Amino acid sequence: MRDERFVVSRIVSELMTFFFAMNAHTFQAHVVKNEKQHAITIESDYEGDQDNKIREMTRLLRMPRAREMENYSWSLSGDISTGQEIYLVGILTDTVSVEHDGEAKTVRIVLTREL
Amino acid sequence: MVLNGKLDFKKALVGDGGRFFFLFSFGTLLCIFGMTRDSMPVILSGLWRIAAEPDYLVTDYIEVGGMGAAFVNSGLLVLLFTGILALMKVRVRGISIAAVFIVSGFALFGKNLLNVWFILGGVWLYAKVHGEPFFQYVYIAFFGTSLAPIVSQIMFGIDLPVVVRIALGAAAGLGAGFVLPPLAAALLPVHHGFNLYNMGFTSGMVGTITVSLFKSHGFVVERRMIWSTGNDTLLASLLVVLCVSLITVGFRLNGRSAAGLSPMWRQSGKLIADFVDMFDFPPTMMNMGLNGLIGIAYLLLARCDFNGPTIGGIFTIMGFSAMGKTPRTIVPVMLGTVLGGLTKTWSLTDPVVQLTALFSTTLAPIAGGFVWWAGVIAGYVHSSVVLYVGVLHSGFNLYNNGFAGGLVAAVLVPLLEAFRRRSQR
Repeated sequence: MRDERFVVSRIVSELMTFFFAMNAHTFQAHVVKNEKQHAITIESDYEGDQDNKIREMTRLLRMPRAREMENYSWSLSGDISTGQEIYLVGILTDTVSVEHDGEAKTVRIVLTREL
Repeated sequence: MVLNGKLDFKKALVGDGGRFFFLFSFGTLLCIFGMTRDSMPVILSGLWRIAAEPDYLVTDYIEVGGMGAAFVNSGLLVLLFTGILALMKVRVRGISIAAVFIVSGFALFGKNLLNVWFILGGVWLYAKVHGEPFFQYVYIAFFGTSLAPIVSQIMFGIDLPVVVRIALGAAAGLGAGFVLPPLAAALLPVHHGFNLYNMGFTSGMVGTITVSLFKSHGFVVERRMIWSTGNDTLLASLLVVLCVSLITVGFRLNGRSAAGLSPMWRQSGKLIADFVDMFDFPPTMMNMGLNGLIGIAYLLLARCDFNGPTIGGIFTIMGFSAMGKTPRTIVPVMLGTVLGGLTKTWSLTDPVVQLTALFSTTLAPIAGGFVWWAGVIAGYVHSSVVLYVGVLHSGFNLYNNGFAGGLVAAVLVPLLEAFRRRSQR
């Protein structure tokens, strides 16, 4: 993928848009690049009862990577959000882990994207 | 709550084998239907006429080569394009169905067994030059065949020695395919994914520049309208059987349930909403059948014609019902086109307007992502824009509605977003 750095920044942007739409106050993104992959760690809080949205987000993040769709779709991530765009993050990443603390209203997401 | 790992599609109700079987069966059905309409010699001579005919918009292959050849052309392209996906071991998703169905539809009025390969070749060359596997560009190549008429026009529509025409036509097709991959990614954010026929927008830009170059060198293309009539009962029946079969089989595969349709219909449908990935294959089949029936009902109620181009419109609606279109989102946009027919200077039965009503559903995500009446406005505006932008690319971009839809979405979406944000404050 020629536009790797743009793809990773769009993934972060998409998730930032998603959490800000849930009134996040603190959104932290940590990206580590090595020879094999990008590892993206997201930590965010949110306001209100968002269990359904987070459940749906988790489902979409778990969509398997689709390399054949990347060149067609990557430039859309991080754009206007209608909720379903997290699917794009799902198909752009190889592994995912989601930790949701419903009482503290925080979410921690770890994604990897192999080069 | 902690969740790790990606979903395993092996647990899907219909696996890759079943999905390939579906696409191959669709292609086979089209071929069989074609072969029942004409004898083999008639079909073969029709296929040659189709391949050798300049086929910019609007060229109905049923009129050019006969019904048998038109459907065999469509069926063979479905089989070949599905075969490419199978050879590359690409998983069949919603985008695969959309790509194959749009090829099947436009293989009834513009794409043929000769002209599509040069576009694919151009995209393949781009991948090779950049040292990347072709399968990463396969959908850009498939959708990019919208520019195939450039190849046919140069090979068969201009007055030059045959060797020169063939060389120039091949070069133009390869060149068009070569420039599509970077442009597709660059132009996608212009309409924010609210125009489903994104490659139509990209191809419209490429076609406009190409035709401008041609025209400034004295190359002028006359407008054309080759449009068959008189086959309404037969073709409408075929489509109804196809759609009802999809709904019935999808319902049975889904455990005799409509589960999945409700959450699917709540989606905006904005690119990329891959319904096969997100909601599994059986509900997607039902959605395809239902949307197809809506398109057929519109054609019948508006007393439109059933021919190559309008069937192409129905197939395209069905294909993109695996990636974005739902009844909730296509009806408002079609309604906007109908309202245009009441207030504007044209009639709903004008051939171009018949196509517009079907292909305007490229803007369905506007109804899904905002409110239903935004879709009505989009359809109303689109029905005017599409009638005047075709002249820019002289009909060489088969997805003219995708080009117009991109322009409409580029203007409407920021306005709608601005008012949505204001209301949210």
